[in-house]
Amino acid sequence: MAVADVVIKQEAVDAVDLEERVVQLCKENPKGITDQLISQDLPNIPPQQRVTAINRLLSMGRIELLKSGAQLLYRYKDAQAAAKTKGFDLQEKLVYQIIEEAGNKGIWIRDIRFKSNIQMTQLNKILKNLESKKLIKAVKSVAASKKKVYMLFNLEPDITVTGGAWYSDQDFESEFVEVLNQQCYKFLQQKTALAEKMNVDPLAKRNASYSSSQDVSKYISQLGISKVELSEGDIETILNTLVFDGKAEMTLVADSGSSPTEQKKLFRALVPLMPSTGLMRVPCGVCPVSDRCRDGGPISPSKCVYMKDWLSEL
Amino acid sequence: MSVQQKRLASLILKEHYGEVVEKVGCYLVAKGPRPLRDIIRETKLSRELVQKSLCCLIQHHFVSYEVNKKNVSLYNAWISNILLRARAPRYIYCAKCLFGYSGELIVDEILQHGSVEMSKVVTKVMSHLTEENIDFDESEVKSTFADLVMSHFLQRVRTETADNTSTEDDMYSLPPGLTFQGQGVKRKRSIDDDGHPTKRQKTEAKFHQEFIDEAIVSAVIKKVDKFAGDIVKAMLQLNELNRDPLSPTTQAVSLHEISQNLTIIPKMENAQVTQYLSLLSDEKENFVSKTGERGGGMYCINMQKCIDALCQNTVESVVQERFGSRCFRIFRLLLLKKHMEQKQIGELAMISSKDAKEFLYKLFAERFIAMQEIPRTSDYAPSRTFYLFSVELPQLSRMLIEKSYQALGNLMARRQTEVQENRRLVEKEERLEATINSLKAQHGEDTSAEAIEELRELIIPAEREQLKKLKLSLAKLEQSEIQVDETIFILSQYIAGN
Repeated sequence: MAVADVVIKQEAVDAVDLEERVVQLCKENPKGITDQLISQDLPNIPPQQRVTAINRLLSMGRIELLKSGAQLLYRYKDAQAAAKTKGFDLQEKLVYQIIEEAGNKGIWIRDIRFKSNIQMTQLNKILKNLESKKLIKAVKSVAASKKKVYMLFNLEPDITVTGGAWYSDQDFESEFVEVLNQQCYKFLQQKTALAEKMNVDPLAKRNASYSSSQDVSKYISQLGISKVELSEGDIETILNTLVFDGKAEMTLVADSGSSPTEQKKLFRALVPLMPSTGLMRVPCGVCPVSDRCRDGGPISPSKCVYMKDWLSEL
Repeated sequence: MSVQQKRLASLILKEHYGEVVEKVGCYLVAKGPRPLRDIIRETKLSRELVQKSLCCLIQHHFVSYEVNKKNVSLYNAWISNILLRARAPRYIYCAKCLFGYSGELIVDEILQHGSVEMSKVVTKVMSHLTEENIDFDESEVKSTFADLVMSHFLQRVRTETADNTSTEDDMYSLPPGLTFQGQGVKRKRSIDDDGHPTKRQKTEAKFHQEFIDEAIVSAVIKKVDKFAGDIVKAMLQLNELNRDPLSPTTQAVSLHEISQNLTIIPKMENAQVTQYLSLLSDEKENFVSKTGERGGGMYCINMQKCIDALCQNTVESVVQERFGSRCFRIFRLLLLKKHMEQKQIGELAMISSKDAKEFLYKLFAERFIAMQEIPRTSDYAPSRTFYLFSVELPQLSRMLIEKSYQALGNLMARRQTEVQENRRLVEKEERLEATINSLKAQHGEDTSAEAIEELRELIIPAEREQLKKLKLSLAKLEQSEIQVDETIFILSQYIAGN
C-alpha cells in the first residue's frame, strides 16, 4: 500500500509540477504556445497526463485557449484578469475579451456582435450584466452622436472619442470657442495698441505687436474663463481660427531657448485692408432672390421691398 | 458680354443720350457689326435719326465703323466703353482732386461731348467760370488743360489715316506753337480710347491707374501706417507716366529717389525709410519687394499682387456681409489651404460638424466655393469618394462682377422709376421755379417777396415733403451707384490681370 501511496503521491506532485511547468512555458511565450511545444518541452509525460493538466488550468482560468488558423494555442492569463472574469460563463468571457482588445478607443456594439457571433438580445443582456458589475462602461462618441462605444471601466477614453477640451457631453461647445476666440483677439489688440504707443522705430513697433501662443495661453488661464485646463496647443488652435477670420496673422521665428530647429509661433492682430465693398452697401448685395430679379417681373427693382425699406431709412 | 451688361448698357444710353440712341446702341450691342441699312430696317427708325444717333455714339467712342471688302460700312458697338460711362462721376472727381476746379470743368466738358476740340473746351469752361463769377484767366485754363494732357489724362483722338504711323508721343502732343491755339485738333479722354483690340496696348488707362494707386495707398495705410502709405505713394508717383500695364511690377526705384519724393512732414530719415521698406517687403501680401542694392537699395511695387490682394479683400467682404463671420472663416480657410474635406474644415475652423456642414453647403449652393470629387474606385460610389472643397477666385470674381452689374442696373432702374413716379411733382416744381426766375428777370431784384411767396405756396407742404424725400432717395441711389462701380472696378482690374 505504501508503495501505491508513494506512487499516487508521486503522481500528484508530478501533476502540480506539470501544471506549473505549462504556466511557465506560457509566460515565456506571451503570444501563446501550441500543444506540440508542450510535448517537446516535456517529452516523458504521457499525453493523458498533459491533457488533464491543461484541462485543470483552463477550468481554473489560469490559461486560455485560442484558435489560430488550424492550430490551438494556449496562452497565460494574468491572475487579476482571471479574478475579474471569475464565474463568468463562456459568452461573457468572450465579450469581455473583445472589449478589452479595443483599448481606450472603445468598440461599437455591432462590431462586438460580428466578432463574437452572439445574438443581439443575448449580447445586450451580457453587456448590461458587465456594466452593472462595473467592468465595462459605455461612452458616447463625438463622431456620431447616437453611437455608443464600450470600453473597460478603468480606461480614460481616447481624444477621438471625447473630442478633447472643446466637447462637453459629446456636444461641441461653440460658445466656449467663440468666447475664447474673442478674448484672444482682445489680447492681441491690446498688445498692438501698446506697441502703437511706443516711441520707437517701425520695426521695433512691429515686433512689439507680436505675442507668442504661450503669452496668450497664460493670459487666458489667468482670466479664468475656462473650467478645463487648456494646453498651449488648444490655444494655438483658437489663435489659428483668428488667422482664418482674417483678424490676426501668424509668423514663425526661431526660438532662442531650445534647439536651433525649434520654431515659435507669433501672432498679431490685423485690421481689414478695406472697408466693406460698395456692392454690399446696397440691398442687392445681400438680396436672397437676386437671381430671380427681372425688370417687369414679379421681383423687380422698381417694386423691390428691400430697396423701399433701404430708401426710407434716411 | 452678358445679359446684365447689356441691360446696364441700355439703361446708361437711355439715361444720358435718350431713347433713340438707346435703341440704336442696343441693337448694335445685341447684333454685332451691322451696316446702316440693317439698322434702319430693324429699328424701324427714320434714316436721319439713325444717322444722328450713330454720329453721337461714334463721337463718344461707343461705336466704331469699318469698311468691309464690299465697300459697305459696318458699325460695331463696344459695350465696355458704354459701361465705363457709369464711372464718369469718379473721373470728374479725380480731376477735381488733382487739377482743381478748372480741371473738373474740363473733364466734365469732354465727358459730355465724347471728343471735342481744345479751343471749344476752353471757351466753354471760360464762359462757365464767368457765369459763376469766378475770376479765372484763360491761360490758366489752358495750362490746366496742358497739364491734363502731359500727365496723360487726356489724349488725342487717332485719325483713321495716321493710325499706324502715330507714336505714343503724338497721342499726348499739344497743338503746335505752344500757344494752345490748336484749331480742329480733337481730344478726348484717354480712358475712352479702347478703340480696336489690336491697338489696345497704346492706350493709357490713366484714370484707372490713379484709382488703383489710391486703393493701394489706402490699403497700405490700413496695414502699416500713414508713413508707409506715403512711401508707397511716392514710389507709385515716381513711375506714373512710364508704367507698363502688362508688367506685374512697377519699375524699380532707388531709396534716394523715394526719400526725395516724400510729402509727409516731418521728413523721415533714410534709415527709417529703409526700415519701412523692409517691413513692407516682409508683409504676407508682398506689396513691395527689393530688387537690388543699387542707389541705397532698389524697390518695386508688385502691382499684380496688390490687385490680387484688393480683389481678394473685396470678395471676402462680400462673403462676410452676405453669410456672416462663421461662413467667412470657412471661406478664408479654403482660400488659405486650397483643397479640403468637410471634416477637416470643421476641425480647423473650430465649428461643430453639423454647423460646418450647413455653412459649407450654403456657400456651395450659392456658388461661392467649388467642389472636386476624387473617387477611390471607378464606380464613383459616394461612400468611397473624397469631396474636396476649394475657392476659385477668378471664377468667383467673374460671378460677383455680374452681380455688381446687376445691382448697378437695379439701382439705375429704381432711380428712373422714382423719377417717373414723381414726374408730375418734379415738373410742377420746375415750372414754378421757371416762373419765379422769369419774374425776377422781368422786375429785377425788386420783385416783391410776396409774389414769390405766393407762387411757392402752390406746392402744398405734403408735396414739399415728398419732393424732399425724393431728392434724398435719388442722392442715395446715385451715391450707391458710384460705390457699386468701385466694386466693379476692383474686380475688373483683377479679371483683366488674370
